[in-house]
Amino acid sequence: MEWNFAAVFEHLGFLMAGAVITVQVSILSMIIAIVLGLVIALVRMAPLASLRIVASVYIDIFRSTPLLAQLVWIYFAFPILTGIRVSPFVACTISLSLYASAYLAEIYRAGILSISSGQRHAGLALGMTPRQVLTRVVLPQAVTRMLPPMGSQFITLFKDSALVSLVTLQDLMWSAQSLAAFTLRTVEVLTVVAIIYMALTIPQAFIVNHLHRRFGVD
Amino acid sequence: MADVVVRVEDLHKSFDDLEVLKGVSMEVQRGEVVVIIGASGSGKSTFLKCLNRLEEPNRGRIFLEDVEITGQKTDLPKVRRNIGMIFQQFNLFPHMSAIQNVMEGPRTVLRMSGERAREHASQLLDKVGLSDKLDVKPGQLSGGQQQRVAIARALAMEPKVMLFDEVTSALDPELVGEVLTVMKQLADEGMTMLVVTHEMQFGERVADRVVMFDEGVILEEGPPEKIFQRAESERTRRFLNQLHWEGE
Repeated sequence: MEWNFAAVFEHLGFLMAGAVITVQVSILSMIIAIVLGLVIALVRMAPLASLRIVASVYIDIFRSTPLLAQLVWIYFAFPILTGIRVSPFVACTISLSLYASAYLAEIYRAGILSISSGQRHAGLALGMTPRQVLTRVVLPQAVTRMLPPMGSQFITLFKDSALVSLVTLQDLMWSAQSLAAFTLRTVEVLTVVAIIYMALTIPQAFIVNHLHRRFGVD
Repeated sequence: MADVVVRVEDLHKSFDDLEVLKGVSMEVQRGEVVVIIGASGSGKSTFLKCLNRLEEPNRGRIFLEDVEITGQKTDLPKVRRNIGMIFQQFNLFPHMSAIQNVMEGPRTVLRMSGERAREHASQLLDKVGLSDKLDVKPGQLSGGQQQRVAIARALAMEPKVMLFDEVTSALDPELVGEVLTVMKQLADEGMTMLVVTHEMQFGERVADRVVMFDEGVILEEGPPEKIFQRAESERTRRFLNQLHWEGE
């Protein structure tokens, strides 16, 4: 076969528009997941056993089923069951957020549990409420331990976001497939797109490595 | 009328099947220094942790200045402000400097202004001999220095009673003295103290009363000269003898 990138470079703007969607959906999902994951982690450690079970079922569901199945379910099945229709962007953001929040919840939980009970006791003995112990004593220490795995989780989420193309969100991967069909230069298009993904992911990996060196606990 | 700061009635505590406290009663007067001794596993540390309810007693009642603190509706954070606690492992907050550790209680719990809290904290660190370590993180301090910061941190809440849970057990021997000196100073100033320790010299010199715990009950108690020299129970005498290694 003969390599011919001319058609790809001619439509680079089209791919870049897709890349913007990819970045948007990933960052927005991660922000939601960071908050949601913390809530789930706290419920997972709640004093009430029934609450703990709910959180752990949630975590298990999202971690033990394929992301693609979750996406399809939220985009196709959910509207049929409830009558609520949402745009592909919203459905994909929700889906990626829920998925990542389950993983982040476990990262939070591990980070929080890694802080010794002596630290909690010291805070409580001063007269802090459990909430103050969490925000003043436990989380500030746990966060530095959680940053490296959270960074890795974001990179995973960023690459997993390519699946949203299958529910018609016009992200980088969707743009690639459209352009491949249009130009019939499938290999060239996917090569360029892979390079774009790399160009976006490698700086993230660089930051995560830095976090590992700075805060990592072995 | 006697001025009782802490009154404990028939305290019981079990961990699963293991009964650690089997009915302990005690009264501590204002300004009194009570030293609690006993073998490991005798329940003395658990007893201290029940006093500020870091451990939840199964049965029995505790009163702080005649107010019961073992009730269902007890506002625990409010009660604990008045009970200072120093731990074996120091438990300083590693992400804060020495002075931030001392300011943390007044700032977060009492909502004191930063300026006042800082001034008070620097006085307290001066008092425990650490005025040159204000901005140093705990990781850069020796064990003895960390424990003195921990004492200053507890003092910053102006507690009515202070609990010392084997506070010198994790220290290198040459660092024990500096911590005991600070504790003696507090005792001389009239602080009410319950001290779980293996430092018998501290008991002899500073305690008003020595309490011997054994298997979850108070085996005997009395003034230090009586317990250390003329203990009634054979078990107490044996325990004290074991602490003095005299060799072959």
